[in-house]
Amino acid sequence: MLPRPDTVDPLVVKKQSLLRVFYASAVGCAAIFVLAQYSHNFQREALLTLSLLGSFFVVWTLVRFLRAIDEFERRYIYEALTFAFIGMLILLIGEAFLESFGFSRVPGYGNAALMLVLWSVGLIVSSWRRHWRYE
Amino acid sequence: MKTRLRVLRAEREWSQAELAMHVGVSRACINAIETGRYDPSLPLAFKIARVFGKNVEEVFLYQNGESGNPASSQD
Repeated sequence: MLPRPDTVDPLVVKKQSLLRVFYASAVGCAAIFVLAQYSHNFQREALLTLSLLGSFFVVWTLVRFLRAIDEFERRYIYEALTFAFIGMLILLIGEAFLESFGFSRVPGYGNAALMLVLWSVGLIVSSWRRHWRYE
Repeated sequence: MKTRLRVLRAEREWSQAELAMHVGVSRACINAIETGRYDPSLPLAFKIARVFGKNVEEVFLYQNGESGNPASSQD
């Protein structure tokens, strides 16, 4: 017979920590990128490089999170990704449409941030649905 | 698919969270399997059965077909 495990599940702690690190680093990257827009010359380049390196860390953290979740949670991540993908598609079409009328182009980082926001909204909706279905 | 998860868990006096930790999945996953709202993948089913020291057939029961043999119900 297997021994009784501790009360705190290390896997749950790991997933929560990864998600926190993911959001914190994403916000950090966005802040550095915005700061770079108000800087000049060498300082601007250094901040943009830092932001780029931070972005790699954000993606790496997300991949680690996706590898830590189980098959049941993966269904909800899939729902959130579908939501983000469809939402992003609609927004990009909207952006292209507005651009043709002379509106300024949304920067790439702006689209990445939008994608992250849509994915987060998708996660919240999925979690909410799971709560009402299974809890 | 029916499951004897709740009975087996009760025999060992395990909570859903404890079983989840042994198997390495979330508590919500165990809850969904127990209540029949989610059918686990084959590797997960084997993993759960192994935790209880049983065969998969002793933990999960296929509902379609009188013999309980999934192959017999495939058209």
